[in-house]
Amino acid sequence: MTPPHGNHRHARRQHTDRRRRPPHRGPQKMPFIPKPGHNEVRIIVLGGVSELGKNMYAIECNDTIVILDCGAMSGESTTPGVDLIIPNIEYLKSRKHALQALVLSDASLQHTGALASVITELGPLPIYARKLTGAVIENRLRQLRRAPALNLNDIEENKTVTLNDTVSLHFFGIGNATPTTLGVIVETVSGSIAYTGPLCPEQKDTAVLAKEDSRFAPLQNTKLTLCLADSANAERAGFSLTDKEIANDVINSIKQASGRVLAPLIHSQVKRNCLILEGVLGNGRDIYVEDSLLLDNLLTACDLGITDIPKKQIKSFQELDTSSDMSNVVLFFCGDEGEDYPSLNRVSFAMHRRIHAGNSDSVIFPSPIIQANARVVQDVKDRLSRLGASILSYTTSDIRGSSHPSKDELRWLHQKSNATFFIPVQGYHYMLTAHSHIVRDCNRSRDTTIIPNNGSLVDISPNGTSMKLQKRKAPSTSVSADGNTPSVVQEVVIQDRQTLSKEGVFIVIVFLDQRRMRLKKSPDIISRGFVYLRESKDLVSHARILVKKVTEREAKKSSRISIDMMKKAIQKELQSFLLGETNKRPIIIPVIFM
Amino acid sequence: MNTEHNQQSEKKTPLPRGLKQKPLRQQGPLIGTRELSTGNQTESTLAIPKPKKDGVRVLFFGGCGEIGKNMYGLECNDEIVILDCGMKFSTEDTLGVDFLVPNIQYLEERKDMVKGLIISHAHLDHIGGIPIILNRVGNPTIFSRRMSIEFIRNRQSEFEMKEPITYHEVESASTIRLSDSFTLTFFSVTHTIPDAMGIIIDTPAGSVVFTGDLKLKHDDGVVDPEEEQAFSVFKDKHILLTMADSTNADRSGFSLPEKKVVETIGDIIKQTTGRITLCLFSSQVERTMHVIEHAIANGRKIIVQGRSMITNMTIAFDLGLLNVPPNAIIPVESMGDFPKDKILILATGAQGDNFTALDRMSRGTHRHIKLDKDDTVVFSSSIIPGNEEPVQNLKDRLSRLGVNLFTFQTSDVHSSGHANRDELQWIHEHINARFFTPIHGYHYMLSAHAQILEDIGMPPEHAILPDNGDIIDISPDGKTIEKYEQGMPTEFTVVDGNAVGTVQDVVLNDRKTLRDEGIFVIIVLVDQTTKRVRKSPDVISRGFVYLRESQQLINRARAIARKTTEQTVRRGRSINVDVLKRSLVRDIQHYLFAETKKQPIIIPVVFIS
Repeated sequence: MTPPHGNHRHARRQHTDRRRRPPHRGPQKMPFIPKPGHNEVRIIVLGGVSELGKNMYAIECNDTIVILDCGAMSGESTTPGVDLIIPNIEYLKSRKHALQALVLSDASLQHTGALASVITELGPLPIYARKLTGAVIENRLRQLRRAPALNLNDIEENKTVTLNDTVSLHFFGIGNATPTTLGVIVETVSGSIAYTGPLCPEQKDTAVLAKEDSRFAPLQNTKLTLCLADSANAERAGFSLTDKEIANDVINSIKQASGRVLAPLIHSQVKRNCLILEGVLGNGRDIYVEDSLLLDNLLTACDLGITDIPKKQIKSFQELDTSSDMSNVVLFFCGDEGEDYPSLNRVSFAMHRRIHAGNSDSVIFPSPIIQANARVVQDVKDRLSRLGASILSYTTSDIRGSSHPSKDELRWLHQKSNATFFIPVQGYHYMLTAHSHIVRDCNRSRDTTIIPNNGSLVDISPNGTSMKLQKRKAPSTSVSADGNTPSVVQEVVIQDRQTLSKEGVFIVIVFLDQRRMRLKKSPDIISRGFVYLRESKDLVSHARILVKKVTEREAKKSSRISIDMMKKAIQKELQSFLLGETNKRPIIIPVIFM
Repeated sequence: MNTEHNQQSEKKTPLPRGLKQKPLRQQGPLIGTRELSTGNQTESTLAIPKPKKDGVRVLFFGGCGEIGKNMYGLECNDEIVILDCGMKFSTEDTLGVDFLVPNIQYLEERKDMVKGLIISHAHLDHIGGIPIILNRVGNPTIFSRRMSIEFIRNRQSEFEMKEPITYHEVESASTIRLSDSFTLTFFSVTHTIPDAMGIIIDTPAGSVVFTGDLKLKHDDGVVDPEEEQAFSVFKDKHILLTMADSTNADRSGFSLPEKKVVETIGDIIKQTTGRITLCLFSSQVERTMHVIEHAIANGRKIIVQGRSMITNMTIAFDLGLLNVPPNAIIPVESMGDFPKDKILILATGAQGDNFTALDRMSRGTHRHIKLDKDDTVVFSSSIIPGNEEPVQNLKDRLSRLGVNLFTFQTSDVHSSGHANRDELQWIHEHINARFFTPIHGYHYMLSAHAQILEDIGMPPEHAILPDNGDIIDISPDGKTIEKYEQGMPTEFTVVDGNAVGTVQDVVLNDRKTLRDEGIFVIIVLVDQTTKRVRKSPDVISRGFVYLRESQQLINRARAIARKTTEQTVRRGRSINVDVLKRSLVRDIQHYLFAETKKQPIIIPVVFIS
């Protein structure tokens, strides 16, 4: 656990001083972790349980590893400068020979975002996903410059894939309501483990439809040892809204708007997007899509028969004739997770090349607004409203329909499944706890549930009678995926960035004449983000005098000059001087030449 | 809330032990002692023509297109009255700045005209700017109700003022003649803090209503008679203009009544067996007082954590609004004297900010309070947009300690202090003004608010959506309203460290780059005679990459710096430092970007000897 960041400024270390090495605080090295015993099953929680996003789990048994999902998340507010955070896969890297399969339960970034770097590092694994998921991923990777080739395998309902003597995969829960999601039962020699993915049984008027019973029958019919289930909405009472309900609301809202409508969509929510498009077309509107990835995914959906919209009705905005009457047009933008609504943002700044918002426009946000984007959305709405556009709200817009199961769906699931053990996954710890309460209420005793942390290893005994959380942990520090290669996010660097952004930096460079114990010239001062130097001439010249005084005093103290002592003295006195003058505490870096 | 202030008894009751706190230790100089002169010259506002005789001018200094720093003004016949004077906390756009206040150049240039400052209620987004602004606009008298004045006085102790402030306490439903052109009438409104009020300003052109922040007391949509009573002042009045709170105008129906929230919290207190920690905004003074009542009724001792909460409770106590038995509020040190299930902790920090008591409790570093599975934590607050991630992380840490959590998402433990759509409709039907300017909210909230008025029959051209810096004139006969083309200056005024002034984009942009990309300093020593680099160039970097792991990157950067320097130096006879610096920046930036996809601020330092 990290201490509160109160004193990190004082505990700052010098990265480059070649004379003094900082205490080692490098990345977590892969510790030695013994393999699970013969016929034991190990569940490795690689990410996804201290956050919403970067879901990644793995199941290991007799030198066979099946990976479940590999998601990413944006980390803008707590880790400035890092665009995408992905799970730490050191554990898998150390057991590359055992990797047999990667199952993707959904197409969203939370489940597939880290795919490119994971495949690059682990090699071409066979990937099992539904056809649409595969297509959506391929569309996305096509936009990357250096995307790895994927070994994709399409999955159909109730298909079983036998990997080897030890493990086979049985897929379930595939329906047309959510054409990207997929549940899997990993059948091992020592028991079966179900991973639900973001399951969303079709329901109507707070009752799950009968046809869902048959789809989820494998959960009931297989003797399950363990169930891993989605907790993202476990705190929320009742049933989640279905894509259809949300789409209907959005369509009605668009119907009432008189002029052109702008709407950002999440590209991986293909089904919801198709439903909205169908409704909008049904009302006689023209559709244009601004974002190329969104367009690709919609056309793919047409190809796969997810929707029966004729392809030619989904048009790229390039075909939009801006000079003609646009009151009948609905324009769809990219509103993706982890991105700040890039193109809609440009429209709101009136900087879009072709689309200029005005009085006759309306804007609607049909997708759930993810937490990291709430502020951005507020600003975008404000700017669009200023341009004259009206912001449409609809009855369910507050509820932020997301495709995760709420309390009642989870209750339905746990009543069906007869798993001996339970591990809640996908969500913050408090969501997992809420989920464990639901399971407890379904008459399960408490000790059959383990609430995991990122990096947790859970072993199940060969006969499937006991489940134990290991003391050892797999490396779990977050990895940033920006830059060229994935690298571990260093807390020192992040803390520095945070201080730099609030207080700035103040560098003094001193030339010391060793023989005469005097400065060769007045110290040089460089500062960024602290105060406006041009207006603070007095401050700078006082700081110079102070540094000169302190350096010469320290130099004369003893016959052998200690650079470290001198630097510390400069830092200390300068800090209190600057604090006194400006009430700010910039990072102070003294450089001494002799 | 209509509060009958208790007559303070002659012998002052001693402050409960749990509310005593050490005075704030002052670090560094007082805020506002250093002026930032503005780099960019702004035009004088004196060029803006005066309003017509007996016409009313409405000034919007802050609070439109944002949540925070509310400040408005009315001008008539060379007299100005200011309505509220708030601050706003720093955001992404103003990194490292402590807080923002409205731009008041218009008032600074018309100091003699300012007749008074009226404060509707004592929240920081309505009073926070006073210490910075008041002295600069001619130090007008502050008019407000008793509790608000106490809050302002208390906050003033943290600041140094050139001239002392004068206060004028007013009662609800009273009328004051402020100056020749302005007569003020006050009416009570419901908000989350006692003594919130709205103001009716009678001017020669007609009456202007400023609602302040408000919601309605109601029972499933049936408005409380108390509200009918308060709004009866409008019965026989012709109102020219309403300026009203838009924060929740885009939310439908009625807001969750505060009564329900207090009941829910009361039930939780009653039913919970272990210790309870309840976190709420310190500004939720009314709710805090109700919670304390519930706790006492259930035999719990109260511990207050968080300086602002203690301060606010002390003020409420001093005013006699908080009636507690002497030993009900205990200091945290004596918590051990009571069984855990007889304790209720009130804490701030529900927004996930660092260093608060709740933050320390969640990290297990609080000196006295260690949370475990017998604890219940109630978040009686919403999440301010932008704070979602810190709040999620806070809840995550608490959950790891095993505590039970109640949040507004799972139960009715919070309600906003601002009116929803249907409440606003009721309010406007009672006020029934000719013109309307929505205030207090983002532009889309203002626009949703204007829509409500249009729905109840106001002609659209009678509503004007203002922006910060706008000037709106109403004609002397009260027949027409129009936005003045020229506005007032709108650059943010920031308080950064102890300095006050207009924001300097250079510094803020640097901070932004430093945050996202970091800084990379390269120091090169050139020997003038040999035209060679002496020693290997030095590199200092912060917030860029973890240098320990990037030795190769650094060594390559050093080599590039050496090569670039020697090449450039040898080119001419004399060394041109500027050219050398530019080529160093270019080459190193190019290399670092290719290697890391990051563009840190690069600072070359060249010494020639």
